[in-house]
Amino acid sequence: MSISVIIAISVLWIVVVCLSITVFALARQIGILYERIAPMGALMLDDGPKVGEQAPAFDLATLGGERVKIGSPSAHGELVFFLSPTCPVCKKLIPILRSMRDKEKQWLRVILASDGDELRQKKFYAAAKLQDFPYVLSSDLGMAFKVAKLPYAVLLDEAGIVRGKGLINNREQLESLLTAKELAVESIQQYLHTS
Amino acid sequence: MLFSVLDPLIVRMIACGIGLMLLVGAWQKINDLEMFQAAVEAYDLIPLASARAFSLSFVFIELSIAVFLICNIASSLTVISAIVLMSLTTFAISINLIRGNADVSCGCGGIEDEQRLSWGLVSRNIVIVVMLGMCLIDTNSRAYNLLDGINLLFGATSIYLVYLLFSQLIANRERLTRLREGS
Repeated sequence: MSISVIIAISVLWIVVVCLSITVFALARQIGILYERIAPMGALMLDDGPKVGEQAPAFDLATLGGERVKIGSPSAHGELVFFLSPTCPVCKKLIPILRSMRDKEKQWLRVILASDGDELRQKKFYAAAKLQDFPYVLSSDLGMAFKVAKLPYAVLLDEAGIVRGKGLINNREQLESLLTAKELAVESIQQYLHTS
Repeated sequence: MLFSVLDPLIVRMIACGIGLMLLVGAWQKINDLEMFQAAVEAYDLIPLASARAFSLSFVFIELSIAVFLICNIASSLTVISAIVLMSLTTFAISINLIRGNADVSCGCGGIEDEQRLSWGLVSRNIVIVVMLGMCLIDTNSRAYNLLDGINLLFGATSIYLVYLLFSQLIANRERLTRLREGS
């Protein structure tokens, strides 16, 4: 077989593989874009305590053995983040939560909340290295805030008043809760709609 | 008659492409075994107590099949094992979709984006099973040359890349649906 045929076919294959990689990369970029533009601000569900209402008060034990109060007046605000070991988006948001907690530590405490099998939760807690967060297990907490889909977050101010809440799929939606509090609006969606 | 013209190189290409897919999938599962186990538990088809053992066994079998497919060891038996593995996985996804339990990670592994259960995944797996079935067809053996080696290498890589692309498009479709629904 002629060496030129082998070279020609090899070049053709290289072109095919490069094109396949390019198309895959483009498809991935589209996927990322869908996630980034998904919907502006955390999507609020109508259930549960409304923004501006007093949150139900809880005194819960964390997996670390401490006690944590949610919804009671305190020196700092609280971001209660509902997650589950089987939720891939939740896992992706943990580094973002960590950076938000460090940035806003002057006034905000981030609390992780879940429910279900304790052994499984403890394994997830250890595997995802969540020891630096208060992590509570309570079905009542989720029911009180009417959490139907995950990941879900509720922002409470120092007086225990709900200042923002909604489904969270990315950093922008998480930050929209803080922005809504700063702008003193119910949600970024409502702000964009009315302004 | 149709398959009597099937070149053995095509069969090797398919086997190596799917072997590569299983190899990367198994590697990803080993890297994040906890998440894979969580996905197995979320499928809710086996007792929770046996999820760990099942996850480890599954990854070991997947890895073995991948290596055997790529190295062409015990080819017919390996291909049948791969068909059984893919069929069981597809069956498990279908059961959960019928039960309405679609909001869990598929646990597929691989370098494409993480995705939840969908009929798109079922269709993709059926295509893979059909392709594996083609590997069971008797072909005339022949000696390979340098060009065959080049075709095998790039052909298998292309099959894997096409698989990645389809998986990514299925993941994108699910994201687009969520976007339209506003969640």
